[in-house]
Amino acid sequence: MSSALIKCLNLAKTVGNATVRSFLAAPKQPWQSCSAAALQTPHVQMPMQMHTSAVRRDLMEFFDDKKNWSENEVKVGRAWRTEELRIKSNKELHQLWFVLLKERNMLLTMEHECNDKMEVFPSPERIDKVKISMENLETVVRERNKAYHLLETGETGERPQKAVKNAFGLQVSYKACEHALPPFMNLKWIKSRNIGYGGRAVNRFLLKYREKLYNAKRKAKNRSRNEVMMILRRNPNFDLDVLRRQFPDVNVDKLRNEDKIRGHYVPKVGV
Amino acid sequence: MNNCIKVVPIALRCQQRTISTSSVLEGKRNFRKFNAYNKRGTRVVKEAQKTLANPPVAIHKRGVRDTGILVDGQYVEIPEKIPDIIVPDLTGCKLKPYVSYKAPDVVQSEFTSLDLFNAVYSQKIIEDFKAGKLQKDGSAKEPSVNEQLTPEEALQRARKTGSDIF
Repeated sequence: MSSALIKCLNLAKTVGNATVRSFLAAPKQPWQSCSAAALQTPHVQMPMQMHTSAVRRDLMEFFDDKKNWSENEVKVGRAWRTEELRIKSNKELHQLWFVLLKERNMLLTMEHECNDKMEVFPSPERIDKVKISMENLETVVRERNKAYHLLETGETGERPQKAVKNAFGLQVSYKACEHALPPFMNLKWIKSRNIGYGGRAVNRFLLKYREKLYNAKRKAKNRSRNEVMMILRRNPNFDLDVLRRQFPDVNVDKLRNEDKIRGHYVPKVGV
Repeated sequence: MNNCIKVVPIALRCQQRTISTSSVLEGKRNFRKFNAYNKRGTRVVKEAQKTLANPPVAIHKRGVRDTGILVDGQYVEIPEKIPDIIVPDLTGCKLKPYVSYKAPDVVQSEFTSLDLFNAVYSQKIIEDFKAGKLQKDGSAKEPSVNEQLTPEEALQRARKTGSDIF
């Protein structure tokens, strides 16, 4: 049985090698993006093509330009915004992703090397800019993915989420993921999961936690009410509509009938 | 004076500073306190890591995934497990990692399924409507390749190997 399995796997390896060879022998065609939204655009299914960057036999692409090595500051622009990335095509987004990936690898390499050599790493905020650009790029790809799924299947195509309670009794959002085994066969998961939460300690924790949340809310409400009180006390002719719009939680009309908004002065009687 | 000369070595020896340490702990005795990854540890540990099906310390692969499986102690490579990284051709690429602060502002809303429908389907529907090639339920008499796409096929196409899962 195992020897037969080994033979099957070796045969699969041979077929795989033949496939790769046929891919390499295929005539060069422009590369097509594998993004879900781009699958709609070409009317014919293009065969899978492979590309690599230019071969460089050293690792100097992981390091910055030599003239920047001893600088205290490297001037660069800002991160890519979501609006700017939305006007790019899928191919351009793919290229930009790898440009940002190379930049990130270069920056991390330089940071590590500067730490080793006890030197100043110039402009460390570049790492944050590259990270923001990558996050925005993923946001745009996700938008297009969702648009494709909504148009063709009626669903968003993202992983379904479920609200579950963790061991402390707090509600967290669980994103489903794929498993090789069905749940009833997954012995490791069955043994490791704890069905439900409980115990006196959890109940006491939840009581204190909710009390903490309630106290925060109560203090915020009291703070707003006190602020309105002081405004009316110092400025008796304040515009009440502005107060109602700015402090929706406070009952301004009820507050006006109370003595709290009366100031330290004698009201002016008609002379 | 002779007495002083005789006493000098003793005095110097008394003034010498000494240190003391605890006994040296060999690795074999307190194995649990050491991080013994792939090539660390004693010879016996390395042999066990190499031969046992479930080694005492898990093999540290540094985040790299396997491209095959072990069958009866023999490593078999599986072609489907080898990652196929699709890298675009960056020659002539004008995009840079940063955007100049002088760049003009861009206003562009989110790409929605309606935009995708307008880009792909609406032109053909308009032409079919003008030519009278629509059926009573609104579908086309001569559907294009995109119109023949069923939801299952579209989902399969989107969920091919290498697609993003959000």
